[in-house]
Amino acid sequence: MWEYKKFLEFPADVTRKDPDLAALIVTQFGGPDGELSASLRYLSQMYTMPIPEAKATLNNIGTEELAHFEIIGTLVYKLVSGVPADVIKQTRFAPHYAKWGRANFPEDSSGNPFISAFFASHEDPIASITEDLAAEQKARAVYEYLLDMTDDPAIIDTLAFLRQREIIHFQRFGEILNLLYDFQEKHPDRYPGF
Amino acid sequence: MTGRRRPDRINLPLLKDIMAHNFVNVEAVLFLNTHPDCQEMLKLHNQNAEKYHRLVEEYQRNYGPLYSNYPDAELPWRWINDPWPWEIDYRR
Ligand SMILES: [Fe+2]
Repeated sequence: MWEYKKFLEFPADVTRKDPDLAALIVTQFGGPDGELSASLRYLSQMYTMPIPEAKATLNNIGTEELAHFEIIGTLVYKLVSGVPADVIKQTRFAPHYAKWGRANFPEDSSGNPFISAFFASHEDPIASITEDLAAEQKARAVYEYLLDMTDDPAIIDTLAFLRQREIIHFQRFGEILNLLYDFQEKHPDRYPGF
Repeated sequence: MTGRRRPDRINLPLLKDIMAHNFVNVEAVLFLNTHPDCQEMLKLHNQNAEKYHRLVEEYQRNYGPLYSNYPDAELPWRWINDPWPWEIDYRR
């Protein structure tokens, strides 16, 4: 089960309102390489993993990604809260406002809603963990694209933190992949095709 | 009783200290999952977890709950009090 802690994993902040930037950053809330996608990917894959290290790693990283979902939600919320509609009207956030007002909604930077088809969850553990390695690199790349879009120092701190986490997750999944290959070698019966 | 409740008084330095100690163990746990025999990381994990729980206890005693199931809760029920994590200005 999950239990909420009433604090963020990182002190996410913004120094000024910026609805234009909110409309871009939201892609890490509900886009293909976003934090919701990451979290649900790992928390779906964990059940059928053949080794304990993989179950634990998917569980813990999937949980951390949910905390990142909250961090991105915080940035988007802070960027638009209190901004008058006639200001929002002039920004890239206007299409979001027309649908949802200032509420957060999991969508990408073009307004496409979140779909679970963004990720895969295979019984074959090598297929899943290899997907996860790619997912972490894609998320890192998106954070770098977003870092190019702002000069707000508080947002840069927050996005740089999230980018760094993707690098650590990639490292841990790399270790899991090696453990899975070791496991396959020792248990060829469980992997007849190997 | 209806309407707006008074927000909890927060202690930002202590809250940030708790967040930092929480993060250290997020990282330590991930590392231990793939290095389950690492003595050095285990030591860091245990020392940091002890400090984390001490700080959380201090915060909850004086400034309001960080967990909804915390000991010695009182009425009026404080879990619902503002500010929520996304409402706090951390830039101080
Ligand atoms: Fe990640």
